[in-house]
Amino acid sequence: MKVLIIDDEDDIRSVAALSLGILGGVEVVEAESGRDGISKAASEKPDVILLDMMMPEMDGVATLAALRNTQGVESIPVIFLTARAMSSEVENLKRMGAKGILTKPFDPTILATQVKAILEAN
Amino acid sequence: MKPQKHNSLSKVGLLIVGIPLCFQLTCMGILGWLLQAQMEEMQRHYHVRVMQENMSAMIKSALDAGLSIAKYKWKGNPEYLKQFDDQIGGAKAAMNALKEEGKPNEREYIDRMSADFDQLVVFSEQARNDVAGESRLEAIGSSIHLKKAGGKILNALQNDVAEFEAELFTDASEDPKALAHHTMKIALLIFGAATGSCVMAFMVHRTFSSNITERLRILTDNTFRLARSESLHPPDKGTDEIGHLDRVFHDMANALAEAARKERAVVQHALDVICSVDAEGNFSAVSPASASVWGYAPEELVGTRLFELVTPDDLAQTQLAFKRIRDDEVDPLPFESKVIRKDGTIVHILWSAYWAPSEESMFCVAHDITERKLAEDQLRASEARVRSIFESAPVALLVLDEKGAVKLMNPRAEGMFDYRFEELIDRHISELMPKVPEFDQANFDRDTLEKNLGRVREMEAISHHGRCFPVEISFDRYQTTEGDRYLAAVLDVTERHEVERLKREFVSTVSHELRTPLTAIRGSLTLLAVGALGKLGDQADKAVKIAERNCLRLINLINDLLDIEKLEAGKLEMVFEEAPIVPIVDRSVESVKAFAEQHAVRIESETADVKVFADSDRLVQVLVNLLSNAVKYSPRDGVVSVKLEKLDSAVRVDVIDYGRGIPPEFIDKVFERFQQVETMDSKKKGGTGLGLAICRAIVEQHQGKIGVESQIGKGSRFWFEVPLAKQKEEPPIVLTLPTTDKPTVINIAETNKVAEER
Repeated sequence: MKVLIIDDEDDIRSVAALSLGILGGVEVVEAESGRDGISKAASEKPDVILLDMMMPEMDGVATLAALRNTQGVESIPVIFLTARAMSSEVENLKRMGAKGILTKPFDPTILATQVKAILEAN
Repeated sequence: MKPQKHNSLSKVGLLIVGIPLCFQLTCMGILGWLLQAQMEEMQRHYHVRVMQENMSAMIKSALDAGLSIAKYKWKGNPEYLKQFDDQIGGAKAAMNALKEEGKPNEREYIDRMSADFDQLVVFSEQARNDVAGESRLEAIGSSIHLKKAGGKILNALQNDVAEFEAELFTDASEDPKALAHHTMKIALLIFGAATGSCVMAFMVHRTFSSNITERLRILTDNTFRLARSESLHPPDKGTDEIGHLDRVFHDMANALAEAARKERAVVQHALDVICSVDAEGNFSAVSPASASVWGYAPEELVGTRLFELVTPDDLAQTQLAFKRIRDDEVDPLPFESKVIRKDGTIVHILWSAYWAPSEESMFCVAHDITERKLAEDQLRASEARVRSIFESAPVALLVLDEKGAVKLMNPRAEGMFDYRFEELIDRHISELMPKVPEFDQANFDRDTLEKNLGRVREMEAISHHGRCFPVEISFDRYQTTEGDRYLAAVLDVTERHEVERLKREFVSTVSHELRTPLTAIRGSLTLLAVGALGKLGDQADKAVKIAERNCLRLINLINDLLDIEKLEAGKLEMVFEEAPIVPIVDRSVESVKAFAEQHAVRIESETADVKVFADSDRLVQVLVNLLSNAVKYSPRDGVVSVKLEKLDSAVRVDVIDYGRGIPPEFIDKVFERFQQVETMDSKKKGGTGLGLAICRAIVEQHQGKIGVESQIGKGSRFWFEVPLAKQKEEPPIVLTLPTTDKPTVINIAETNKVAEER
């Protein structure tokens, strides 16, 4: 399984990558912005995208919208990884096509399990 | 005394007039009858006399005619023949008069007389003619014959006359003194009538005097007696108008006596002092109430000056008021003054006074209004307080009538809406809040206000100058003499909204800015701690685990602080829906399973087929808190039980441990912020001191209850109740309130994330 992590925070990306790669046995691709994430998604064709909500320039919502409008990547499942997830926003994000929402700070020991569980549930 | 019976005065009058009148009419009738009889008697006498005169004239003329013939025979003077003719004519005239005057019942006699008279006339005229033609000798010879033959006829005629006269007198009257007798009768009658009238006049006088005059005199005397307050004559027993009048007069006297008695009773028992004051201002009479009102017995006051009772500061105005009443002699308005009681205390008196010029006295009623004055003073003070609060309240206050018209507003309201009160009075509330549809004036009624009673609502208001601003408004109702009034308390929440917006931004920032580095730290430490990045040395491993544990504490503290802040501000977003209770319990148990294992504590839970109407994730948060506390304070190898009980309208969840228990003095505090049984607990056991406060806030937002029962050394039973799901399916209720960091969709079961406290 290949996971694309889009987050402007290098440390978060690194911890998530370590967690998913070492503990989850997952191939991880990192992108530092929404725009970078869209191109990586197109080139790497990941099985799932972990998308940060709050990013400069292009935030998570805009990135999701762009992904949904980009041919070839529009069907890749997207899971939000966010420090602020309001219940009212969860429904909106789901309507926009997010498969799930994971909150920060996440537990690195079970991150891969949670990602897989969401994919299976969908 | 024998009761007298009287007819009505009209009947008495009728008798008084009627009886003499009848008597006099009877007398006049008899007199008339007697006069009539007298007249008839006189007419009969006249008739008889006329008939007698005619018959006498007839006989005399006939005899004279015979004598004239005889004279002619003797003397041969033709003058005698002429006399004869005249006399015969006179006899005939008399006979004719008899016929004319004769009545029908006398016809027989007159006819017989007439026949004999005609025979005598024929004989006499034949004799005249014979005598006129004869010689004197023959005449002498024949006169003898004539005398004989004529004598016979004349005798017959005289007999007729005699019979007729006899008949006439028989018919006229048997008693020749009848006429005089009649006259006597009339005289007697007139005398009798006059005497009777006098008697009757006397009787009428007697009757009038005894029946009316005397009784009227008694009646008149009664009026004087009543005026002198003396006892009246006994009531008149009569049934006529005077009797009736006398009875009415007695009734009136009784009523006056009763009224006077009542008046005396009123005066004697009145709570007000009733008194009279003479022209010099001295009390002439005082009712017993003076003892209670002024402390003076009535006899102490009589003869003293009224103004001596009045306090010096009220004396001038009291004297002026009395003077005005006396001089103006009109019904004056009551006035007030203070009076010094015998014991020196002051009472407030309301005077009502009336000046009676005829008695040269002032009649006064003194009403004690001390309590009323005190109440008025208190009321004024209360009104002043309320007004002061109203005027100085930092909240805009509007008083509306039932139709929503502004009746009063305080200065804060004037400032808030940029209106002066005079500009806004009687204008409708909708002018201040035009964007609130339910305040539309066309549909506004009492219910509009009633529905908002006891609620605090946020609305948008507009000022006089068009400034739109958010307000919080609540209504309360009170009653006035003009109907119900509604007090609208209006709070400008512009600043609060701004603060809330800043707070949301702060929360969002804290969430993001603190959590992002913590995520990296925590992730790295955990990866190190679990050996994912290679095996560490013992010292390094210990240090990493300390760092990780404290990092988790920091994360928990941040989460709890954010939660409690939002919960207590009512801003924590919740999604209520029907959910079975068992999975909630299972998820909670699963969350603390690892923690329990660390403490060698076993968790037992019941199942129950019930659904709750709740935010499942928040309930899990509550249960995790309670379970982790229970685990933390349980002895090693202890048991923590979760019990479920279905109540009428709620589900009760009990979390029971058999740990050290909570001292009674802490029982009431455990649900408050940062309250732990021992200050060292947070250090010993970890925890932020916020967990139970969060639990209470979450349960209360579910309209539920939370509590604890505990015994030192035996353990604790924490419990909460949340509403049962309703039978009917209802869509989830989403409270659209600001931010939350609630984990959704997937519960991140951070096994080490526990809110530990007590």
